[in-house]
Amino acid sequence: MARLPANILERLLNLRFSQSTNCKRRLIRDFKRLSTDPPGGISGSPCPDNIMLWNAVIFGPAETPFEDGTFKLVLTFDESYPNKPPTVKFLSRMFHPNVYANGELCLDILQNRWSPTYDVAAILTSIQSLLHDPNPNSPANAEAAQLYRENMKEYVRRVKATVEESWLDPDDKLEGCGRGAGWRRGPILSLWSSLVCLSSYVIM
Amino acid sequence: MKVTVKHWHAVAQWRWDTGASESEGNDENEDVCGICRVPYEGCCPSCKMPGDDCPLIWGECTHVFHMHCLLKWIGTPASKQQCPMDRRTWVTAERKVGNS
Repeated sequence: MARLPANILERLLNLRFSQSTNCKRRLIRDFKRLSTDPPGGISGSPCPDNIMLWNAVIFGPAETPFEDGTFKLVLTFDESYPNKPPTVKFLSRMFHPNVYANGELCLDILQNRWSPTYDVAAILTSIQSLLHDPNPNSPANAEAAQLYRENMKEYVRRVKATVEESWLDPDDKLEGCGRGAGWRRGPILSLWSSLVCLSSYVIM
Repeated sequence: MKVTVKHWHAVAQWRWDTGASESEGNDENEDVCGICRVPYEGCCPSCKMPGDDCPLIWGECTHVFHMHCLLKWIGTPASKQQCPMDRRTWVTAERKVGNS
């Protein structure tokens, strides 16, 4: 029986898989970096059954009105990552000049100032510093921007309400992975399941 | 005592000459392509074999990437032909490519 020469077979496999595996390989490296050398106040991991979909938490930076908040986000990657940024969305309700009502962000590095040298850790760190330093000149939430400029006391009060809300986010509000499974198990268990998922990707 | 060599293996190691000396290159991030995060001596995610088929590319801004990674980025409209590290317009440095 005729056999396909190995190099042709390999090339066919490459055609079929290369684009998506490139992106997955990079995401596995991102996850490794995020778990071995995590920047303070952020955490994130891919869904156990879909590495293109990540859940993340940003802890509100100290000495800002966001302090003590646990803000959940979902990051959706497509095959052009890292040449294209992921879609990033807050799942927790936010009150911030640069966050739209639907949770999407107005952040230059996720739009026209994206660079393929950014990784998940860099994205989450940038968002964390956006909480610190809102940019009221390109408002996504006009009310938040106005209060930030003109009525700091009321701005702080409104933000603090979202901080308390962030602790109560019910699982079924999370549309990311594992509806109902991920967060209730607590960070250690979900980190563990992510590691298991990481090792299964490596074996693959 | 007399020694007779029956057989021997030659072993060689290579690395790209990125201009960074061994001692300088201690920091982990120094030696990986900033785009795919794979070491320079590995290959870009689209290639199977490291070496001349998956070379590095140097910019005049001194930044170094796997050639395939950089060209893929420069090929996207979003890149605006800029270096991913410093956003300067990418100009490939002539000196290194092909003779290292």
